Amino acid sequence: MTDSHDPHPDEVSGRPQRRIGRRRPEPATTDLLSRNEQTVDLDNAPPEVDPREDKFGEWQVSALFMLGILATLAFLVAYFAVSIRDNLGLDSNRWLGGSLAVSLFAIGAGMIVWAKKLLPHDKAIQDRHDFHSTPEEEKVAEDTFLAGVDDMGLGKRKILRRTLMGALGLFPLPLIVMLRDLGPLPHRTLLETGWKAGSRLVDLDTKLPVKLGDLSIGGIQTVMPEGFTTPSDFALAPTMLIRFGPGQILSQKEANWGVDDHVAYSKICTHAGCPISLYEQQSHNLLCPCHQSTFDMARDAKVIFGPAARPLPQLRIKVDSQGYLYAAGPYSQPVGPSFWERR
Amino acid sequence: MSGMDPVSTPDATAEIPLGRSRRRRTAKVVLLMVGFGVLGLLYSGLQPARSSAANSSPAIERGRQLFLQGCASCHGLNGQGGTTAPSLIGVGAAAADFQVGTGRMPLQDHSAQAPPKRNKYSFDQTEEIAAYVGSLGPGPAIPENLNYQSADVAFGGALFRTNCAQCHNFAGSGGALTYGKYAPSLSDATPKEIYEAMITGPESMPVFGDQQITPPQKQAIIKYIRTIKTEPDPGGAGLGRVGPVSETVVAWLVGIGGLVLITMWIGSKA
Repeated sequence: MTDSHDPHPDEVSGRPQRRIGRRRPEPATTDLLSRNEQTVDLDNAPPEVDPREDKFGEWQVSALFMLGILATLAFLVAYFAVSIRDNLGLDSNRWLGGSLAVSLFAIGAGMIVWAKKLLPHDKAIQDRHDFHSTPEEEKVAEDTFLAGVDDMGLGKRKILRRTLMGALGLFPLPLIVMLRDLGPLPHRTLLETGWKAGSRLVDLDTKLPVKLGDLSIGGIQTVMPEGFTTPSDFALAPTMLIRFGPGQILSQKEANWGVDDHVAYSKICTHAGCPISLYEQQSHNLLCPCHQSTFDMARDAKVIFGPAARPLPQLRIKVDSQGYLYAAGPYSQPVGPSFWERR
Repeated sequence: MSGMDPVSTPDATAEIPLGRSRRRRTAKVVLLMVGFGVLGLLYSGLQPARSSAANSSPAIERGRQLFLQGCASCHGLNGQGGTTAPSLIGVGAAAADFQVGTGRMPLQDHSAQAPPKRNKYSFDQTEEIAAYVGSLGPGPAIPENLNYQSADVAFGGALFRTNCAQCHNFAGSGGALTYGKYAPSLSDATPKEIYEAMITGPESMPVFGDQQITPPQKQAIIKYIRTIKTEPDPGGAGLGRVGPVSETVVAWLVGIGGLVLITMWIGSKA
């Protein structure tokens, strides 16, 4: 620590040149050099250490370490003293996280201040040396390897050689077999949604069948086929029932597939399969929250913005004599995002 | 559902359950009868009220005056609507109470969506305007006696996630819609405002009528919204409760940015 000195003014601005793969001529030796037996440049300004500043730095560093000690102790105390059951654990989180942060910060800051204030600020250049070993060492290594191969007797011991090759050759097989987990092929599961001809529309939460007129004008409801069970079997079934005002549906086909301004559309976005129902009842825009695909629900769910490539499939609905809405048939096309076998 | 409905007795006028349109219609017929009788006695010669039940005709008249001053320039002298504003006939008192009560109306400017702002009208004035608009045609009434405290918060949460969360965010923090429109945060919404918004469907919001989401279910949704509002954030700052987006922004900008700055400081010369 006594070598501490400022860099020479001439050296401050210029970056040291770095040479790779070539030995530099031996520089003037210094203490450091002889200690490390390395090529090192030093600017040899005389050390100037203000003893008071040195003392002050020492005091600063030890104060930071003391803070670290206190914060670590605070963590230990808080771990037992502050209950994690109070306030949803918020108090405990704050105490533990806060004390740990202070403790780590103080230790780290102490080390940095130590390095900045108390360590000598020598400017040193250390060239890289060649990565080659000496030819003699390379020869020795080669001989050792070949002698080892000889000793193993791979050439003579046929049974060992063959079983080893068998073992190594067989080893990749499990990896290949495991690729089967990429399957099985989905077959028809991507084409079937759970909607059948005659399936009543029921509410997703209450599971009650939906009657014509239950929905207000400008309303939207998430419906499922009656008797739906696990989400995985009916993952493609979620359907939006939307009720328009009179004359608001601008597509004749859309109106024909609905009942009295009620229309049903798949809730699964045709882009990436997100469930969508960000429906704006005045503009009749339906927005997908994932990638901002926007569908015009008054015009056959036409895509008016965003990455979706197809309109949302419409579910043809009818009303029975009791006033309940039901599906006239399954979806006429696969719902949700594109897939390989989709036609 | 007939005249035997207890709601239709005059004593129960103030207790009309929330927006049950069939009951309300029955109630209104009976009330109009009773109202005509009473008015005939008290104000013979004055025009009879086409009233929504809970308000008397002087309130409607004061509401009409306020309407003529503050609303009629866009919505028309009789609330029939104009080139820039929709008709208010049949929107109901609840719609007017919501729009004026949250400061969305009178409209600030013709931007994508009316922002909520401070309501310039007093509570009574707002009620009077709502009473007048409610008298223009049958529509949802202002909900009263919201006993949401005893509702099932878990079921309310399920309903909220199915019907509301797609726009208003799972914690009711709101979110963006198309072309500058947005679903507002629900953290400052009062139970009455939430209820009114559900039955009237202000602006882009769909209407959630009482046949679709029954009044007790609406109470449960309100209970859920009010409950999550008071939930503490165990992880510290909630960062708007909009999920991983704001958390990532803070982690990258503040966390990693701060680390880079500290690293640069450590690497700098003493």
